[in-house]
Amino acid sequence: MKSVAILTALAGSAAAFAPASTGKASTAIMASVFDNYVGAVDFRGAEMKFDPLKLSETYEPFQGWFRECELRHGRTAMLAVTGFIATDFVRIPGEMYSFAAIPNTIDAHDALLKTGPMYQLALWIGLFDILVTAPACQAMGEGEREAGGKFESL
Amino acid sequence: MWFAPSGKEAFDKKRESELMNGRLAMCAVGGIATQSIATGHGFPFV
Repeated sequence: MKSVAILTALAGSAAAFAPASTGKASTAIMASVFDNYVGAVDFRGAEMKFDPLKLSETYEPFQGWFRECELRHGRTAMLAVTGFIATDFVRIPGEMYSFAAIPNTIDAHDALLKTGPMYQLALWIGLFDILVTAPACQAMGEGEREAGGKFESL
Repeated sequence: MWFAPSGKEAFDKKRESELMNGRLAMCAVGGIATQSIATGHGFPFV
């Protein structure tokens, strides 16, 4: 009796985590992911439907997650390129950040781990991810929010 | 927000631009890290 109760509880919790969008999925299989969303172009603007591993069909309920991931990685990478190049021209004030202390930007991570500021970065970015990213991803999974969202809500 | 054009067509163009810039930047940041270590130089990374 006890084991039956445990099994039902397990099944219930498993169903809670399973993607519950089966009704939406059947319509989305008809129309390919490339018809529903923007971005199926190459760098010259010609159409390019790039999905050689068929991930968007195999993991169809996770399409929103994939879009969210691509947008978030893309935004972070755009900031990263800007920041990486900018540190070769200007540095924030402070002895430990100066060109004399860290001549090359790629060494900044290890150097600043020794002096400390990287831990502060980890704290603030971690807080941002907990307070903003996680609820945003949850709302995206529940369909209350388009992947990527509006810029002001990140 | 400030730059968001009204109209679905124009807005989709902007979303596509974001994706394209993001994809290029994802490649670029890997290239920058690799070239920085390989050459040990700053901005032009050569």
